[in-house]
Amino acid sequence: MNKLIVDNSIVDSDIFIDKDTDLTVDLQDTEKELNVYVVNGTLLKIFIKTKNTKNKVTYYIDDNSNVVINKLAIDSNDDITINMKDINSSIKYNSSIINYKNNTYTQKINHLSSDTKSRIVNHCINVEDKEFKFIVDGIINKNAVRVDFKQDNKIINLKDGKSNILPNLIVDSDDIEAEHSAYIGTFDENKKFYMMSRGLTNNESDDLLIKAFLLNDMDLSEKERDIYSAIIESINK
Amino acid sequence: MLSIKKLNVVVGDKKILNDFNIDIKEGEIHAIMGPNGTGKSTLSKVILGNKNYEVVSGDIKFDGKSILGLATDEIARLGVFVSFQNPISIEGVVNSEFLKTAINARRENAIGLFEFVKELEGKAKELDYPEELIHRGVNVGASGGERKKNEVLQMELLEPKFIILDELDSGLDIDSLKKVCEGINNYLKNHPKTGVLIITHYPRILEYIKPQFVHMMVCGKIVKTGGYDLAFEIEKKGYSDTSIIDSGENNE
Repeated sequence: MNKLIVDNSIVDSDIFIDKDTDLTVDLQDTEKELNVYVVNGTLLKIFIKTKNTKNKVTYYIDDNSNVVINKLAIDSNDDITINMKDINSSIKYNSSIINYKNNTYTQKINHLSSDTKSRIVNHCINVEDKEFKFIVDGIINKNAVRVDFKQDNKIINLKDGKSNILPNLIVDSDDIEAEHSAYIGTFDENKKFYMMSRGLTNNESDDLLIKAFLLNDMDLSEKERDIYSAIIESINK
Repeated sequence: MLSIKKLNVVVGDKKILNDFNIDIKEGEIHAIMGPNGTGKSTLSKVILGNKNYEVVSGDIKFDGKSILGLATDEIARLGVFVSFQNPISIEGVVNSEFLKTAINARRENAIGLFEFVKELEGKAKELDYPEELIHRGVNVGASGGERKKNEVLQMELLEPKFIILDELDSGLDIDSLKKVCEGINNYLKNHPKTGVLIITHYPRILEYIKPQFVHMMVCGKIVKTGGYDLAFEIEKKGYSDTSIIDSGENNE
């Protein structure tokens, strides 16, 4: 696999991926515009950690390409657009957000072609009493058939945060499968009772539940999991 | 060890426990038998400080001190362990990590990784608890029997002073029940001061873990206390036969 690293030194630019690539993204306090072109028949795996960002990122995915993105972000106002341009392309995008401020995280998934597949998982821990919003649009073009689109959005409020999810699904085609779901709330009290019945404190129970909530859907290497775990363990509750 | 006096508990307008009394000393094994909905499982949750239940009056003392008002984790760390009737699954919380955190919650110095793995794998093997479930989310994909084995595995690792077995036999086939009870009996042999409260509908489990005291519970209170034989009298006559209550020793 080709290996690429994107950090704060990158300028607004176009990135072309024309061979199987592991891309690591590490951005902090940035407001960038990036276009990522995934050329046909390519596997792109992206491991992202960001803090306090307002980036605008657009993906263009060609035929027979597969993109897997795992992202852990602290305070993200990012605006992501994914264009599934050609047949047999797929994307699995896990966004896990730790939120301390007033933020809106926006995603738009455009299925422009037939036989395209997307799995969008957005999870957020709203730590303080601030406002957090997911806006997620799934758009299926009228010429796109046999599209498989699923999005799952969840926000857990640890305190009295104001959270909102706008899961939009605009379908202009027949012969597709689409699902979207949204949940805003707290952790299941029965789970916490069970954990505390074994002697874990409220905070220790929360720590394990938070880590599970943010990482469970991700397919990570041990090293990547350790990096994310260290960030999650620093959450100041 | 565990002493409950005149305990009255409500949920909303409904009274669940009604002047409930019981006294369990170190090393004693007690069983409570009763029909569905009589408050047996509520009792275990109330002892653990579950906030869904309101204690109106009475007291629960453990080792001479009231535990009413303590948080669930504080009660657990005093040495009270409940093996639940329906252990829940927790996706994403890895069983081994959960167990290690629970062990460390009781220790000043964290358990070493080698010691933990050795202990965990050894006890899991004794119980025929599948190794792959150790590395999965807590009880995720586990059968009813495997969940009960996980409860006993947790018990053995956490070494409680007082154990409540809430419908341990539900969901267990006969071989698994024998295996699980064998694990509990071994634990009691190695920890002879442990108090035990068995909550059950049927006397089957009592053939494997033999109590010195059997209590019959109806409508939130103990209506009859006797020895081991009472369990089989209850099975023979049923809970609705008042002749059991009218005859012999009565807890009240």
